[in-house]
Amino acid sequence: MQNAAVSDEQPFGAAFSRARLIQYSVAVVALVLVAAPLVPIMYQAVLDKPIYDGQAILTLDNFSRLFSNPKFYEAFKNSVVLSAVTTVIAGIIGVSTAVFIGRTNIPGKKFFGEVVLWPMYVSHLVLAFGWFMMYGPSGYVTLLVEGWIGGKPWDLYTMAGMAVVAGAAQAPLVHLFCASSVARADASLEDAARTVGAGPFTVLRRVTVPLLRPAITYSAMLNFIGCLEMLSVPLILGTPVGKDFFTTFLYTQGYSGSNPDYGLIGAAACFLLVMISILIYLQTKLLKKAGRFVTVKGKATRPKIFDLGRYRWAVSITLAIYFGLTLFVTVGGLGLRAFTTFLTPLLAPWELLTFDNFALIFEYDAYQRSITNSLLVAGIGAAVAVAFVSLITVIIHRSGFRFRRALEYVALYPRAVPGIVAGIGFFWGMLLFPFMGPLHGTIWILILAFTMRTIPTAFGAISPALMQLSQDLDQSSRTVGADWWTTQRKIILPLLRPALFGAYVLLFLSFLKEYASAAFLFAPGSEIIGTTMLQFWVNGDSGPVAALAVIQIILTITFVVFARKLLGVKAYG
Amino acid sequence: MGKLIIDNLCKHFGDVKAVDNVSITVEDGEFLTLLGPSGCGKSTTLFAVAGLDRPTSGRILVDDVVFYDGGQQAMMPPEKRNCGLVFQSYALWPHMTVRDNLAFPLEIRKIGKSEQQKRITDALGLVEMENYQGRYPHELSGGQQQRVALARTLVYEPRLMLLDEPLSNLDAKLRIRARRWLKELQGRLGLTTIYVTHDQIEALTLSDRIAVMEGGKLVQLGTPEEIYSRPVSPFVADFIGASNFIDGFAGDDDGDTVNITLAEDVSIRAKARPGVKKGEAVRVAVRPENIRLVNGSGVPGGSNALTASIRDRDYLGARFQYILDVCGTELRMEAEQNLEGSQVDISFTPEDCIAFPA
Ligand SMILES: Nc1ncnc2c1ncn2[C@@H]1O[C@H](COP(=O)(O)OP(=O)(O)OP(=O)(O)O)[C@@H](O)[C@H]1O
Ligand SMILES: [Mg+2]
Repeated sequence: MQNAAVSDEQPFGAAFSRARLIQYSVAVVALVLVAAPLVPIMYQAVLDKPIYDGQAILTLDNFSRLFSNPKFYEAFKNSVVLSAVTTVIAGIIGVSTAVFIGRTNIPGKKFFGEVVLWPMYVSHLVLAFGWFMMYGPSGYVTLLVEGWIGGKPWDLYTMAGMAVVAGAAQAPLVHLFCASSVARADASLEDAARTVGAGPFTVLRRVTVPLLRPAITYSAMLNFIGCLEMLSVPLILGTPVGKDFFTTFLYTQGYSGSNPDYGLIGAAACFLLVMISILIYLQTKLLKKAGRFVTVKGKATRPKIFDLGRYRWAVSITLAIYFGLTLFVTVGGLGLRAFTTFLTPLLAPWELLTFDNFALIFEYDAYQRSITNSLLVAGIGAAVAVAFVSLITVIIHRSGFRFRRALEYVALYPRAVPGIVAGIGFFWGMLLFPFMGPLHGTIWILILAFTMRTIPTAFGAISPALMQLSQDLDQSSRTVGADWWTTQRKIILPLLRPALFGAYVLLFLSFLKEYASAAFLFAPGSEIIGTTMLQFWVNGDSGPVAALAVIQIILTITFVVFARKLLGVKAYG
Repeated sequence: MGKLIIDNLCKHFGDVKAVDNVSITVEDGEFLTLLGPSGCGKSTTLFAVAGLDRPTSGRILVDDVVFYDGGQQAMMPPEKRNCGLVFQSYALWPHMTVRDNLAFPLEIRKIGKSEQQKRITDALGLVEMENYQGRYPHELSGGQQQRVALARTLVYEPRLMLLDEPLSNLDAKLRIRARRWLKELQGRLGLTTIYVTHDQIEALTLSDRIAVMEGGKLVQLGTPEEIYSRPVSPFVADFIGASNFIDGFAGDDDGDTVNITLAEDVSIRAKARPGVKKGEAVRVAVRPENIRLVNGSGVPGGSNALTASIRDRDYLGARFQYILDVCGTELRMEAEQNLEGSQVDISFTPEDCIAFPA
């Protein structure tokens, strides 16, 4: 009703109130944090020599070299094709699980409803390793089937293979968006279809699913972008056969010997940034339009459950097989591999049982440290990030700060920054900006990079709760004599506690999973589970990789249970 | 300790002039009500005084302390103004108990713990809520929340008390009780108070003076009696007491009352507001409660007498409301009798008729 927020300007004399000081500081820190990786990348993109070289001069040569590089075109084509196919696969799987689990009477739907979200908790890197060890060219299942049929059953190192892996990993996102839409669907539209003579499958196909169009479009855009910036699957399954993608192009260029081509990397990273920025812009536009034909009403009609009759078992068994093959076999395979010297169908696993993989990890400081570092980064980093983003959020929604619209753009921009680009950017930032130098080799540079990447996630988790709090609550606090900052500290932030806990859980899990931006940032002393896994994998040691994956999964499960029991927070869904 | 001067206050939201050149002086200890229909700018005015909203121009002063001065771009932030604002929604902080809600302003004023407890008990005593200190807001009824909200503003002894429709969430009975109690409390504490409402009964019973607003403008400022008996415009006459209006032409003026011709051979006498000119169209306001039935004893001397036809009647329980037709105009009237027939003789005094230029 009244102004968006109470102004916090200071009258007479006092040049700078506490409120303004805090608001400007937070805004400046946010701007620096978001710009820290972007500026070096754009700067390097137009330099003829490495960014740390004082002799470097401005040039556009990097871009002409990039655009005349056949490997880059190949990477571009591969990335776009993989993302498109992945998006379609993830869409089909996600819509099916959302509709069948949410709206039909299949047996075991409660169990499926839990399992379907599990891949979201695990890093894509771990999932990719799982597939590699089970279904890769010399994977356990592959060899097993090969023994039965006497020929190569499939090849995971193809576009189709990778798309299946990435699609299964990204399907839960589609499920999540569609499930909430499905639960709020207007039952009368479906009833109308039933009365004109449509059977349950026809109604699902012709009415229910088309009504999900906005949710499908939105999650498809997210997945397309997510796949473009995905490093794990292309790296684990593409590089062995020399297939290049955007992210692996950057990764291998960055790690190619002692003399990486800085200018080329800068130009490529810049190109990726621009491309994803455009996609995000289009997505926002699309979403605005989508709102117009959303058919879901505020009315609370409880959607009906479709009786699939005798097909209910068929659907249920199909789902069970799907989850069995994509989740239980892959994750179970990781577990099996972690406790064996090697995995082959020729010998029973218990004959190869060993604890050597774990022993190796706990014997060496560097490996052990990667676990404690991961926990520190997730535990402390997520807390720091939530504290920081909660300030950004109250400034954007609950202050008279002059630049709060601009701050919102800054806070949301990191959506367009892929992990690997952020990693390269922060790394160069440490070379370019003297004040960032001391962060080198500490976990703080990781925390900064991860925080920057997750500002939009945390903002999205806190904002809705804040908008539901009546303005009267802050205004009454102001009139009884509290200034802006006291009001936020004593009234608004305490009332936001559930949302802050929720954001903490989300961020903890994503910090634990994150590896792509760390790949360029870690140094001896600041390794994390993801980077150590990558190192073992490069050396072909899949035993310790599996052991670390198992440790990461155990940490995740422990934390998720803890969050549910103690904080009462469910991370997804 | 609390004389408020609002001087040429304006607040524009883009093209909307929510408050348009309003000037009001509220004396120390006075109870002033801002009255007007929804959207007329009452809350905006109140929020400007509280400092929650930056006005477009004008000045607000309390005892020579500048709250806002558009000319000098000086604006005191709300927390420095020491105003007590009671919100329509009460705005009790849901994560704090009643005691903590009251302690918060005292903590900000760095008042010691024992003094805090004493003041909290006193303030809650004033509103008869001292036994609810440990409750959370959601554990209280609407009326109790309203009293706690009031106690929260009383506890730090504000310079001004600002109330934004504080009774609108209460049921009719509780409203009457709360009204009396509020009036009594204000009189006892002698706090300068601005009260916002769109309920005319509340305004008439509570206020020392009433400021009637329309479309962001102040249209009349005066005591309840003045507003009621000498409205400056048909709008005020209608808003306070839901007047009937009859159109006619002004005739001779005898210095006290003026002759109004309603139709051929039908005329009445009425008090004229400034601007009524002979031979020009006028609009006469008559309140339903001032219209009397003519019975056996005849028409009192000097009163206007008219014959009306009954168009419709509504049974209200103890009384009937009649819709009458006088020279083609609709008049409302209330009477206890259930009248027979279709014609009725009515009368009202010239003092109860106010003629405005049409
Ligand atoms: N933030 C705003 N932006 C634009 N217009 C506004 C804003 N706040 C108020 N207005 C407009 O200003 C006018 C006055 O609003 P105000 O809230 O003061 O009304 P009110 O008299 O308190 O009404 P009510 O009795 O309904 O509370 C209204 O026309 C309203 O639409
Ligand atoms: Mg109002």
